[in-house]
Amino acid sequence: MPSIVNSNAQEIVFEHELQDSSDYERLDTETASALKRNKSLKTDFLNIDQELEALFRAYANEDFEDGMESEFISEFVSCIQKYGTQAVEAVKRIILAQNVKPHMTFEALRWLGRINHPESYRSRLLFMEMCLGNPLRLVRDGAALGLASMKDAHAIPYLRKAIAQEKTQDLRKDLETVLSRLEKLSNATIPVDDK
Amino acid sequence: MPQYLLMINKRKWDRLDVPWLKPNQIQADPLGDLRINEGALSVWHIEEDKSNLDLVIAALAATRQNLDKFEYGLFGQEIVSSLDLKFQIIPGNSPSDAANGWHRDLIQLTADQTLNFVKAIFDSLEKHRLYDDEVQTKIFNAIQEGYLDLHKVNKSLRKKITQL
Repeated sequence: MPSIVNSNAQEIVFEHELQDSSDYERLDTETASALKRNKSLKTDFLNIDQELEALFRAYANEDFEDGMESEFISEFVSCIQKYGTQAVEAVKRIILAQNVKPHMTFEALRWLGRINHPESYRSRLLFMEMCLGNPLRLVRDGAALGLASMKDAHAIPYLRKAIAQEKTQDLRKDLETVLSRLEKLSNATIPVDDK
Repeated sequence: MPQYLLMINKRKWDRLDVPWLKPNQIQADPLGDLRINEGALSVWHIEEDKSNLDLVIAALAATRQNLDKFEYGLFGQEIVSSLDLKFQIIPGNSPSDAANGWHRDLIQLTADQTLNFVKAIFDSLEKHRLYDDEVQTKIFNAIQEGYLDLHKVNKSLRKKITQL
């Protein structure tokens, strides 16, 4: 049976072997607490994924309109603000599993860029940079719009790479526009002496 | 030649390079992008020098609940006459009385006419995307110049604009 050894060199078992509270009593307090937290985290992990999957399913046929409020977007944003980075990781899993319609992924990505949530900022930024290389046009475009909203020069090299690989002419132009906007912002913030 | 402005979802009008499309064929997506009601399609007259373009954009954006990207297409009015399509001058419902005078409806559109219309404009449609900050600027300018009545702007948007 696989086991892990904690820092006090006590042999412990994976949490799935812990059948009831008496098993926890065999462990030192620190390890038992960590495992209980991990088990709780695993439950939360499943719940956030399930919650988001249900949300995407519920609004799968929604006809989104620019500038108009959407219950899907309201609930999506609330979920991200409530669960933070865990929710972003869940969205990542769901989108990469391709269980969501492209137009919903598009909306989710562009709104991930608009959310004001410092804790999940980096996670969202990195995910959208990754999505610039997605096989679906709408995913790439949604990611580019999300990155345009975040206004972070970190995305510049990823956009350049995406542009070099983009086969759809109109989308390439849109990516170039986002790149241009970020480069302009980046140049504006560099002190003249440092250029 | 003057043009017509059509609200679009830009990605539906991409020229796709996919194996299931034969040369000179286009995907059906643009057809679903046209909001046709009772055979009527809303378009906006744009002067040849585009002098009223910003105001039309501001007026349309001001009917929304939030500042957001704004995507539109421009096509030549000669296409409407070449396809023998009917149009009516009907005032628009935007918060700009000046812009409302430029609203038109293409009317009595049949399915065949709509298909031919999409085919006719697909390649030449000038597609544009404005970002929310650009839209915001146009709305502000229109208000300052007196062409857009702030009190007629969508209530939800008005609240957000006045907070900026």
